[in-house]
Amino acid sequence: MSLLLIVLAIIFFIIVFFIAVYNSIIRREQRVRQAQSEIERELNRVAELLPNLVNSVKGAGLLEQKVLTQISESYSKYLSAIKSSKDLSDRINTSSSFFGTIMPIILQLPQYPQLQSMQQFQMLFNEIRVSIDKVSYARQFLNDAINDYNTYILSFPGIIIAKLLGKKELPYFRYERSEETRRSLESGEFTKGLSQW
Amino acid sequence: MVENLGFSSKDFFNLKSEIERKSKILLLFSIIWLTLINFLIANITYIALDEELGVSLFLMIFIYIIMTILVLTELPGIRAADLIVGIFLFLFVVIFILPIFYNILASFPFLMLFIISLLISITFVYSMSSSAEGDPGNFLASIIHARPSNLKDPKEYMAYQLFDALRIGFGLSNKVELKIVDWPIINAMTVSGSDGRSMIILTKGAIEKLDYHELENVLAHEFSHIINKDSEFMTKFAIVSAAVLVLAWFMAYVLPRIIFKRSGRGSDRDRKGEGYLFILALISLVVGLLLYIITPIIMSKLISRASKLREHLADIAAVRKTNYPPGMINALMKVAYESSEDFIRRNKIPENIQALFFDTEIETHPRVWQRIYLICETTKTPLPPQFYELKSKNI
Repeated sequence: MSLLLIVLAIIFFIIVFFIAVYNSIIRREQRVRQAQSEIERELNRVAELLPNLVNSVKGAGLLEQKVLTQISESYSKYLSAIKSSKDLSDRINTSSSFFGTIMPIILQLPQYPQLQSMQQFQMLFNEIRVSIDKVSYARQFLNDAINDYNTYILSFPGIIIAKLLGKKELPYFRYERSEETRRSLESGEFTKGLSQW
Repeated sequence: MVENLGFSSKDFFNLKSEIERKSKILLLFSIIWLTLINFLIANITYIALDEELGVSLFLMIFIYIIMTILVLTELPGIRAADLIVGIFLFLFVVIFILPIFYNILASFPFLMLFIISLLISITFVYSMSSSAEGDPGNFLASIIHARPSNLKDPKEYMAYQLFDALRIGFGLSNKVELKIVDWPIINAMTVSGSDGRSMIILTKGAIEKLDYHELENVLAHEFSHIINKDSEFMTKFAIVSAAVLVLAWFMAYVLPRIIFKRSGRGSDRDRKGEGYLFILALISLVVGLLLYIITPIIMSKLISRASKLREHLADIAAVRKTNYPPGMINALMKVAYESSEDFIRRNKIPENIQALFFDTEIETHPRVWQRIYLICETTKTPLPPQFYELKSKNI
């Protein structure tokens, strides 16, 4: 009788253990998916918004034709990459090089006095900047989530259940910082003068 | 050098573990202090009640329940269900686990009492702090009239977008909400709940006066508080101080009466206890009254030190996430110059919130120059030109 009870208890604990580990694998997997979907959403958003911004800048006639063609070329490349390739890492890499080209231009735009007065331009500018930031944050989080997932399924006790379910290690995304030209520290970006003190 | 601020490492992960270790030691101090007071009460009752272990244990459990109920009235927003779980957990330990060792421990009654005191303190602090923030946001939001962000206003829309960006960056999906208070000062605060939901409150002044990167860093600072569970951590200190005050009340008013009632009765006992009991009652009274004076001093020291450590941690974690230290430094300097302390003092703001910059009676935030200094040292950023001015004025 007592032997039966012990066996039942052991079976019960094994089941509980299995459920707990399985759930935590799935939870980590979902986090990775969540980060991927956030990235895709923001990539599409940038693709939607950018033509509007370029048009409003074109209307003001500020940028040279060379710069505009450069933007539109890389934009069409970016758009085709987003539409065609199924692989997210491909899309992320294309977007990263695309942001690298347009980011310096976009960041210069608010310095033009003609554009400063345009309410619509300011909104678009901020939208695009925040979307690009969201992509960068989402990539950060994606790599964190992948790291978390990989660590979990490669270490005990996750490895047992992961082997049973056939879960594989996920590849990391290359984390390029090329587009983050705004993060430069040299150009004396502290607030100037504190006259009230 | 970071050594000037009392840290030994510049590396983020080392610094993080160092700060967590140091703040845990501070919490341990406060729990030990609560334990010692419990132990004192246990000893007084044990001696006063004819050295009957069972009776004084029973009294300790009674104190635990009284302490719980009274602290409940001091800290609002506590869910009763969690408290009952805490009480049952404690009773479970006392009823089922302790009897196993009872025979051994009964020969060392003082050790027994000490263990019980420790158990009471730890279970009390942890069960209370897990329940203390049951419904976090709505309580605070109703006090300060916080409202959801108005997405038609362009600046609030941008703030919301930045909030969304950082929510993605920290991987908190739909668990955090943004609220806005119409205050003219620059400030931001966080309330986190044990159920994983939290609320970030931004002032209108912060949205109006801070630029893109500054607001980004301020929000990242608040998100770091959520990730590091700082509200929960600091609530433990509030619980300890509330519990110590309840125990002080018990020692000063209740325990002497129990002892005197005891001494009046019992003619069959030998009368040697009379003067002895009087001294015990006097000790209880004096210590209880002293605790009323000492508690605020000691607890405010501990809270201040722990809170400062947590702020430093949130700063460096935020800067690590946004990867843009000048934004944080500029925001800090703007806050230092523009926030009016009178306003904060006039509008008293409850305890379990982590604000960007507060200066109430307990100094919960490090000096701005110290924060800037640590950020610059850990991220290899050059010091801003205003740093020396801030340092000389000790702002």
